Amino acid sequence: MKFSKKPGDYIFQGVFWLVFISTAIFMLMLIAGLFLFGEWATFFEVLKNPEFHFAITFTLWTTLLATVFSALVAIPCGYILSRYKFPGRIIIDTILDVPIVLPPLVSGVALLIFFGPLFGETLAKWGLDVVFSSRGVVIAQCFVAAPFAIKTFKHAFDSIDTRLEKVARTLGYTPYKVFLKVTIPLTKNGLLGGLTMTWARALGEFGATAMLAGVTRLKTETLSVAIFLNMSVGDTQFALVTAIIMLMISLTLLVTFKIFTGVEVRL
Amino acid sequence: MLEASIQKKLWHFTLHLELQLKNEILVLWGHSGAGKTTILHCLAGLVKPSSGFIKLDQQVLYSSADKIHLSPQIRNVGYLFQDYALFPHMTVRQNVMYGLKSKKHNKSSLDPVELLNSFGVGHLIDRYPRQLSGGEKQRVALARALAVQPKLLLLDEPFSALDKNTRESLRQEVKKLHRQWQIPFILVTHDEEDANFLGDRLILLNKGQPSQEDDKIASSQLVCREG
Repeated sequence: MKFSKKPGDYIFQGVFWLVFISTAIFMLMLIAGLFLFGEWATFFEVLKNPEFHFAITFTLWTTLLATVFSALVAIPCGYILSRYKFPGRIIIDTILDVPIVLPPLVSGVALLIFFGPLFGETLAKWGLDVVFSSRGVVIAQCFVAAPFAIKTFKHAFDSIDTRLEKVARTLGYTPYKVFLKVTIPLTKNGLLGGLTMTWARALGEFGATAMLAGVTRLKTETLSVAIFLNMSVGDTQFALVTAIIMLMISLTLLVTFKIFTGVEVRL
Repeated sequence: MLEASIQKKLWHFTLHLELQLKNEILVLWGHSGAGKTTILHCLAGLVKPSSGFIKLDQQVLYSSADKIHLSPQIRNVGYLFQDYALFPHMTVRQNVMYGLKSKKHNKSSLDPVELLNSFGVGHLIDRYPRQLSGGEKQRVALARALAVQPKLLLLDEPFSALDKNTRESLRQEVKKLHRQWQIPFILVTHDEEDANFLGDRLILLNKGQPSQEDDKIASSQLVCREG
C-alpha cells in the first residue's frame, strides 16, 4: 500500500470512527447509568420482594411457553417457506412478517378484537378465556415473537444443501426421518440461535400484552409490566432493579445467540 | 434391466427419453440445462415425470397410466452427487451405515468396513467428511451408495470436482465396480474422456431430446457432435 492518502481520506475515516466510538460509548453509558443509579442495598431487598418473585416466575413460564409455541409454529412454516415454491409465497412470507413491523399496541388491538368480540364467546364456552388472563400474556408474546422464529428457522433451513436430503431419500429414508436425522442435526445451531432470539423478544414484550392481558399486579405482571407499574407509582428503585435483571437476562441471551450463530458460520 | 419412457415438461422445453438398459454403463451427455440431472431425478423418484413409465428389474417404479409413483426410499436406486453430498455431521462409518440403518437388510447385507476397505478408504472410518480429500470423499460416497445394494446406480458428474490424477484412477475404479456389481449405471458427464472410457452407450441430449445414440463412441466423433 502506498502512502498517498489525501486529507479528505482522513476526514472520511475520522468521521466514521468518531460516530462508531461515540455510539459504543453511548451504549456503555446507558448500561452503566442503570447500575450507577440503583442502590445495592435496595437491590437485594427487591430480590426478596414477593411481587418481584411473582413477576420473574410469571415471566419465565409465560415466555418459555410462548417460545415453545413459536417454535412449533415456526418449524413447519420456516421449512415450507424455505423448501417449496408456490404461487403467493412472497405474499404469505410478508404477512407472516407483519408482527415484526406492526407497533405492539396495534398488534394488541388486533388480538383483543380477535379474542374478544370475534371469538371470545366461543372460547369462553370451552373455558378458554384469553382476554385479561395469563393465557392472553402467552398469546401476545407468541404473536410478536413467532415471526422471529419463522425468519431465523427459514434462514437455517436455507443454509443447508438440499442434496443431502435428497441423497438420504435415495438411501431409504422417509421424508419425516430425513427431517429428523439430516435436516434437524445440520440446522441445530441456527435453530437454537433462532430460539434464543425468539425468547429474548418474548421477554421484552409489553405493548401487545398490555392491550390483550392488561397490566394487573400479581395477575398478568411480567417483568416489563412490573417496571411500568412501579415506575408509574414512583417506586423507581423497584423498577430499576427489575430493569437491571432484565438487562442481564437479555445480554446473556444475546451472547448465547452469538455463540450459536458463530459456530454455525465456522462450520 | 432398466426400461423407461418418460416425458417431463420443463418451463422452456419438454424432456423426452426412451431407454432400455441392461447391465451397461450409459452416458448422458449434453450441455448445461439439457435436462440430464432432471432425468436422474425422475429415475430416482426425486421428481415426478409428466407421463410415461419406469421399470427396473420387472418392478414398476413409475407409471402414469397405472398411477404408480414409488417414493425414492423404496426404489433401490443409488445416487451419487457431483459434490459427494456426504453428511457433514457424521463420520465416514456413520455415513456408510446411514443407508443400512434405514431398512431391515437381511443377512446378506454388506459389511460397511469391508466395503470401505475395498475402496481403499478403510483407514478413514472415524474421520469426518471435512477431513477428507475430494477423491476420498467420492470413494466414501460410492461406498455409501452401494452399501444398500441398489439395482441401479446414478452418477451425476461424479468426477468433475476432482483433479486429473484422482479423476483417472476413480474412472478406472468405477469401471471395475461396474463389472463387479453387474447393475446398470447411468453417468452424467461433460467430460469427453469420462464418456469414452466408461460409456458402453451414449445418449446425446439436446433440449431434452436424445439427438443421437450410439453403442460405442470414438473420441473424434464426440468432438464433432459437440462442436
